Amino acid sequence: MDAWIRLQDVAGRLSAISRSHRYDPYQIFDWPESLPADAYWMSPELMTCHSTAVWDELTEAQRVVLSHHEAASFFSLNVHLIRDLIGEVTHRIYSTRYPGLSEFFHDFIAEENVHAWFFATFCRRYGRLYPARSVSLGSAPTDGMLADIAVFGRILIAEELCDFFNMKMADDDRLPPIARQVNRVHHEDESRHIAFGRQIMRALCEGAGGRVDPEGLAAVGGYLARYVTTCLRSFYNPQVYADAGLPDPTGLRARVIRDPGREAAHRAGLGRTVRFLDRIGLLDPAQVRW
Amino acid sequence: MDHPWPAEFEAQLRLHCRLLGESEALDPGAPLPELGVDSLAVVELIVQLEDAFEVSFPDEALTPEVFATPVTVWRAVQRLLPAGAAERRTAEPVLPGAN
Repeated sequence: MDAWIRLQDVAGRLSAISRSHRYDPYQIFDWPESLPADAYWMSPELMTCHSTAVWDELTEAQRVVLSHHEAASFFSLNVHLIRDLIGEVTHRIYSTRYPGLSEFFHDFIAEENVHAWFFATFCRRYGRLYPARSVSLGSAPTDGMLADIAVFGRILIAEELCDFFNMKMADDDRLPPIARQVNRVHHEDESRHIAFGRQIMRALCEGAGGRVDPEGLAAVGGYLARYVTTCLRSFYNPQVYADAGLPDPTGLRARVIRDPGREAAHRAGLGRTVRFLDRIGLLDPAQVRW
Repeated sequence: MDHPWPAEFEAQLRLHCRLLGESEALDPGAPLPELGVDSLAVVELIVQLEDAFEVSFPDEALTPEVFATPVTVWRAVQRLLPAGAAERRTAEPVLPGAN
């Protein structure tokens, strides 16, 4: 079956599931007044200092406090990634390049809007919504199909990375129930988005063969390899370390980013995604700086 | 060409100027995108400048206007440095084609 026909079929089935599983985000969460100060709000194994020399230097109490700010930071990153992808998908919702996908795009945008709301609500109730530490210079690929491959590749990378965290935390009973629930609800919706994301990437790459300049396609692969690194680096926020009361937050970031113990965590989060992008002929794993 | 910044700044910036040859001079007024610096590179550049100069860019400094050209970025770093530190660092020589 042609990849585009398969994509439309998958999108139709995912939309049907989405509409039959619709929930009211304003009803399903029972937000407590506060969260226990002595509990982890983020799984320690997922925190940025884990498996580093810095982690060994932290007391248990410092790790717990850091987990509160890292949870808010992780949810804030989700909000900013969602803002980016809603904009890109909205821009393409009735594009003639995607006949038959408009219904799915409507469901996708609706769900992502809800996700941004509950992530931001968690941050604003129990911590802060950390601003994005990025600057838009608008220099991503802009040519039609290559731009689409870059955009949907970016979306897939961000979604698979966040979903890796969501899956782990949804079942982590060290976390307060509301933290687990936010992660679980997001994971349940994201599994559909990721299924779609992989299918559209297959279709786009298959369609690109012979229609786009191979050098342009290789440049998009290089761009996405750099995006993997940028995504991983964005978790290391000195403001988070400062809010947790840790000394020399910028120096601490430099230490943990350089710590060889972090590479395994990065590969655990995005190794599968990189291998998928390699299988569809888009990204050379050797280009990724882990 | 006289550089208004220290060698360390130029070395960090050049790492991200993918369209600038090793022997080419870095034009202080060149738009960063024309030098090959894109949105992804800026995220890394921010981290590297913060580490190298032991400063922290406030959120309001993370704008396209600040990250417009080499000289606008350097001015932002200068504003974050303690008094006198920028002058001391600028006195360090910039080697031709430093990277």
